[in-house]
Amino acid sequence: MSSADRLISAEGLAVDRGGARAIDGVSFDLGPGELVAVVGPNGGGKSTLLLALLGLLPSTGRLEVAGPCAHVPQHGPVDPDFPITAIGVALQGAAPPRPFWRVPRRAREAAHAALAEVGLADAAERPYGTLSGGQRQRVLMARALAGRAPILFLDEPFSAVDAPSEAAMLEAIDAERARGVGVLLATHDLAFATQRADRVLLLAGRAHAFGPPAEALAADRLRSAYGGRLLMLDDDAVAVADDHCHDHDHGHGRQGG
Amino acid sequence: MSALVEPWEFAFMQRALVAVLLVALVCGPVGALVSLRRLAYAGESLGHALVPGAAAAVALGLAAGVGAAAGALAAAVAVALLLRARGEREDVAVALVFAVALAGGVILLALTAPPQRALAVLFGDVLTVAAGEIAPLAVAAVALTVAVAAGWRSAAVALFDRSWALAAGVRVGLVDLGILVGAALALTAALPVLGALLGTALLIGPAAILRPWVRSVGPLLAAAPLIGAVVGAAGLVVSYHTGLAAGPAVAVGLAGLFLVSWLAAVLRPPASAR
Repeated sequence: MSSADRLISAEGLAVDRGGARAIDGVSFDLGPGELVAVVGPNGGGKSTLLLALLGLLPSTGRLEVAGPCAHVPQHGPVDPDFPITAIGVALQGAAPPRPFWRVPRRAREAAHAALAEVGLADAAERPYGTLSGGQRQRVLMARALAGRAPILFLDEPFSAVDAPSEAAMLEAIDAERARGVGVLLATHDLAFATQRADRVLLLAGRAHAFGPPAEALAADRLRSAYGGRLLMLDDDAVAVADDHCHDHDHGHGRQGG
Repeated sequence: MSALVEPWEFAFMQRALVAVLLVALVCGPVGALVSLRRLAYAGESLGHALVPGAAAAVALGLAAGVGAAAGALAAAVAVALLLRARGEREDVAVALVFAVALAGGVILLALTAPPQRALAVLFGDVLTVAAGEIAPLAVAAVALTVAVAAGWRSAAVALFDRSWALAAGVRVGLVDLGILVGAALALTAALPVLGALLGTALLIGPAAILRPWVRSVGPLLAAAPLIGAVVGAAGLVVSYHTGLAAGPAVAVGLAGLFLVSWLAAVLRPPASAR
């Protein structure tokens, strides 16, 4: 695939945050229908990278983004009791708000379709605040899907969801990829990155690796990125002793080397 | 029944009713946005900023509303800049600046205005509203209603999820400024009815009463003026029959209805049982 076919092409990307350099020299690309997992330790710059790609943080280096990006944030809205229904949230992603603008029927249909895609068609009229944490995350994903953007960012989307919600979201991700949507997904789950991602960006301040999971998540690369928080389990298998998702990663974080 | 009809036979009560209805229309939707932005405290503080401006206008022989609007708008811009600089956090500086503004305004009123005039600036005197004061209220009501109708959908996106709104290209700083300027104008409009210190009740009260019972922003914005109008009219009737000041009667009525709404919301069965 030529560089002209890339949805995202970044070279030497650097982002400052809070007066300090958060990520530096990051190069990667994302193609249509591709899933690139961004993995790395806490504070490694995963969320910072996504915010920079969304244009919410200034960056230097070369960055080309072909088309609008939708995203599912790591932390949802501040006020979960905000007066809005599930379909209301999805509608916010279906079309941009305009003065004196009533939501057109096409956008309304897209919002309902997005809710159905994440398995919440029956919950359309339920207030967002009455939904479970996993359902809320799925609603936020429906909002991201409703605009049919060609690029989708997900920031640790499974960190606080139950198994049914995770399964519904994975199904939706696969459906989007089949439609040609490029997915950039930040996660702590090395097993997920190994099994699901086409390529992995291993990020810890800088890009320690970018490539197929077997190469990017090789033990020496992981050790380089995670430092002392990497546990050697047997010959080449490793697990990440992450202080943020301790229990979670102990269950899933094995990486066969 | 005649107790409800009798007050409206008098011209001063008719003018008061029109003023209260217009102020309810001005304050309800803007107040709902203030509440959703979690700026109720800043909104209350904006009321304090009306006092020095109103006092200066009274001292200069101008209409109190002119000075009050200038003071409130300056305060609204200051709070918007502070929010922009410091993000979500309200700040000690806001409290200090507005407390000093109130103190300065009260001192100025004490030095330059008769006690009755000073009380009217602080707590309102809707029963003395003149016919000439109705037209500016009507203009404010139309202008703010149009502004809210134009911008509430963008505001709702920004108020629900700030980071999503930023990524979607919504100018959240402009939304903040618009809400604060709207609040400043609404509080200025409420000055004759509830004064500088009680105007917040009609700004925040209706939305607070409705909040547990609405599922989306649109109905909240539409119903808030109705609550303000009903309680405002009831306050006038109580004031007529009891001799209590109308402004405090309206404020207490809103507080009472909020208590009833809150208790009913707490006691209602959970969603799964309904």
